[in-house]
Amino acid sequence: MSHREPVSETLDCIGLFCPEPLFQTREALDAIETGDVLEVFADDPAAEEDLTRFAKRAGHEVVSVDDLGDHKRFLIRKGNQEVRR
Amino acid sequence: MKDENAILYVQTSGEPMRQYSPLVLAQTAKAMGLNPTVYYLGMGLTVLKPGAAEEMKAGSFPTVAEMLAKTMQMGIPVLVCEASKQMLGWETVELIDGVKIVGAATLNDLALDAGATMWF
Repeated sequence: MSHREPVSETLDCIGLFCPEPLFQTREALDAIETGDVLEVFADDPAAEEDLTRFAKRAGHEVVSVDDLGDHKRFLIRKGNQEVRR
Repeated sequence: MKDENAILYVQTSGEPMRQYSPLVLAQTAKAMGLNPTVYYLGMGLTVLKPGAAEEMKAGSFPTVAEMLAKTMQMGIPVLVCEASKQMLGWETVELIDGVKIVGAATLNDLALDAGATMWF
């Protein structure tokens, strides 16, 4: 299943391990506008749980997580960072 | 999401005598209708190398392997810190079945969500 969301920026975290994918995702989200979608590729087994929890905590939306076999593709929509739970 | 009935037990040690308390507490929490989670960090991972927990036994208690198996059979999540695997140089080491590899953000998030966190 592949989502057709227009992607603003792509981040390749293949080969990187925790916490590097999270740090780079945070930086990439900081650099795009609210409502824009960041595409992240990661093969770190911790990435799905970590990125999902980070996104929720920081007010972003995980649009989709696609399992592509040896890695995953995440689409994360940047939220309004004033809105934190 | 905050869950006052969630208790997080974090195991940072590979010392055999330190293995029982969090597992006994987690199983008891489950029996009490609470939501326990066990998280292995740092040297705690040495317990999850296949064969290691079978060698650990204290007094008349079951082996740590039996305790871990019971914990997972009860449906208690057993999570493992990814960065600790790297720290030990265990990138290619397979851990025992049933554990889930997660990361630093997950531990922080679980601690904020739990009603209590206990470190061992």
